[in-house]
Amino acid sequence: MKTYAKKDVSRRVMTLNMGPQHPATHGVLRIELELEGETIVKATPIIGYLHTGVEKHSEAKTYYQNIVMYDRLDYIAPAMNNMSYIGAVERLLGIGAPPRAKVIRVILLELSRIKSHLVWLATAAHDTGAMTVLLYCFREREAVMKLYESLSGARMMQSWICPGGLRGDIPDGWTIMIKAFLDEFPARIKEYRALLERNPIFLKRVKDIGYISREEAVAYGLSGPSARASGVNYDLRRNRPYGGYNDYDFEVPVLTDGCAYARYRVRMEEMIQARSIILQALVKLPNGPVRAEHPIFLAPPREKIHENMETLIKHFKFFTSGFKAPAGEVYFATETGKGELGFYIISDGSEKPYRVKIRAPSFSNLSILPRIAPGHMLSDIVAIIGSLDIVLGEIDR
Amino acid sequence: MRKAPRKPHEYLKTVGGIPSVPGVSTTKLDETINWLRKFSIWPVSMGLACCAFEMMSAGASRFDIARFGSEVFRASPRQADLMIVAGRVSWKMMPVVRQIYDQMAEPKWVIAMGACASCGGVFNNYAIAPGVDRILPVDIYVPGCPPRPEALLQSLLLIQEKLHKSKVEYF
Amino acid sequence: MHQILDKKPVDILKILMGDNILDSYESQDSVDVAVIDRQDLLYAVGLIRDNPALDLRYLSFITAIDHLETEKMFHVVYEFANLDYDSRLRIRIQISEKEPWVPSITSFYPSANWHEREMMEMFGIEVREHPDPRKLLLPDWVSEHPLRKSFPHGGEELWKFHQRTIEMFNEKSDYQGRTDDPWLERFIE
Repeated sequence: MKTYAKKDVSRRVMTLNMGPQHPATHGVLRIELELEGETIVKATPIIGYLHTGVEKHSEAKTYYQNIVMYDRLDYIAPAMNNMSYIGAVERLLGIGAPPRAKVIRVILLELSRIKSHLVWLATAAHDTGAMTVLLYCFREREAVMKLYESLSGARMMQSWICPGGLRGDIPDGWTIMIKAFLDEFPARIKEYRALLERNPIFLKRVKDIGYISREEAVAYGLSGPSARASGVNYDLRRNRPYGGYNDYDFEVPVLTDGCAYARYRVRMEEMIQARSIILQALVKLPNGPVRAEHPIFLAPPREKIHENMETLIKHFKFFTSGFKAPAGEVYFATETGKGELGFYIISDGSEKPYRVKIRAPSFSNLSILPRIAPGHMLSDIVAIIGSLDIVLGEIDR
Repeated sequence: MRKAPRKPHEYLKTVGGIPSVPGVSTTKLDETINWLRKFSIWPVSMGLACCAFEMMSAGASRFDIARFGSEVFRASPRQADLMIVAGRVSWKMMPVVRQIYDQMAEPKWVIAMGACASCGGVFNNYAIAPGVDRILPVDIYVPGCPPRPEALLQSLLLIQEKLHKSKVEYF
Repeated sequence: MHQILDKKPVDILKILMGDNILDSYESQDSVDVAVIDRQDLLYAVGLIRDNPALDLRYLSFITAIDHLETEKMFHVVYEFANLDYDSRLRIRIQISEKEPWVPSITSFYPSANWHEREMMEMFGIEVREHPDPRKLLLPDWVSEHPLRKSFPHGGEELWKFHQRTIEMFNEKSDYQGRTDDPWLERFIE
């Protein structure tokens, strides 16, 4: 009688590669999953497929030329990257912006936050199967991009914030367009909520998935809505105010559930708070210039170029070879839609920065994935990545 | 100057001028196959960076790409005809792009969308390849950073024209 | 300001570590920076995390600065924060190019894992006892360290770096891509 050797069927682990080209990873993210049946045993994210070498490239360009490159980091909310870098440069140079520029900057930043959360909602809901929400959110996004386009001409990468203020003033009727957009915004949010929050399929895919405790959130360097959904009560706009944010009255939503559904609720509430900040800003918009003046560190105003030759030469030299910044080191962080985005600039007294380090929020947010993924099913990992809200442009820089 | 699109009854006439019988149509095989192919080009989603969002806007409801035939963006390259490389291509990503291109079935076309995929774009450093045409034969280059969705739609129409004029070889 | 003891974190660290702090100053964004020696790093990080007077449990970033041309040193920078009381502290270490290594602080702060991996591949600084010392952002075939000042920014040397990779691809695939560069040839006659 033949006897067959018994295979050990109690534990069989299969390695599955969610490759860089995948419709549900947000960008070019590669995850190596080890599965036992459908349960995840180990998940390793492999990044670097969008590595752009921005930090090295910044050392070859002047402070002004670098503004354009940092728009492309977190490409969903470009005005926020601008503000982070410009805040650091302004601290280094010791200059400030006029009051009108500060208020318009806050309007641009909160519009970017709404835009970023809309894209998050579109892709995260699409990953769990709700395709209608994708098309609806992109319709809202087109309205915001129309506002940007009427201001600067570019739909996505405006680079409208520059050291000392803004590149130019807002056109007539822009505030009316914003008010019209904000008037119908609450009805739209209600529509998205009605589509998702009463849907048992969405709730089952999202509730109690990807639990992050408060200690884990702080230890792994999480920030932004992903951390606030776990009980970390920290918002850079309120704790370390910048750009005039302490003049506005807004709430910071904090929950303690720590699951993907809590992160969803925090972001929906943040969109409503962003709307109220913009309404307050529109009320207090003062008149005045949008650009400060400084003899060395800022460009001369364009009208004076036609008047004398020295201003023309200075304007030319300013934009081609740049200005000599004072030596020192600055770290400036802002609260973007994803978390704490910080720029650490070291200057040695020349026209180009010596070293620029970009502290990206999604970099730390993604590093918690190997810790929280094991134990879930294969289809949950898509919901977890969607709830963490990552942008590969930031992670890979 | 573009000619007006052909009316349905014009497809029924033959090359030699001999009138056709209603119910039967004679035409060149090339024309029929090209006509069928060009109005159902399905792209494979190779959205890498910022241009991917303009590609998604082109697929959303305002600039609808489905009215030109690209109904769905297939995730699997085996089921797609067109590869829209949208975004900056780093050296680490190049073998992946090449592998996906090799997996597509003939006939296939490539659109290099944006400045980074055409020539390296804003970035001139060690990590970004100076254009995706180092490893792929590109048909249409779309400039812009990012290009408007209407520019992407025009590039799709140019691919359709190119298809219309080509000879059917793999049949 | 720390609300419990009403002192800045750098002052508390000076009390705890005494003479081991080589230098301390305030940077232009009003964050205190303390310069310490490499051998005191693990002791200082343990104090920073566990001592209830400091309790800075949030690691913001770890990075390195290349001063090899002027001072022949790498500076490694760590930034810590306390999210409840909103205090920040930055630690700076100077290591020479002959012994470019730092100990890993992953056992204290798990978020340091990825930051140290990136620092390792970009600068060539060895992080000892790191649980996972693989490359993070760069492809596997790159052996140079791009963020060092000796790595070229552009021009002919960078083009040679690109050429090597293009030839590597062209050997393996049957489509020979473009190998000329009209922009570069304009400047090299």
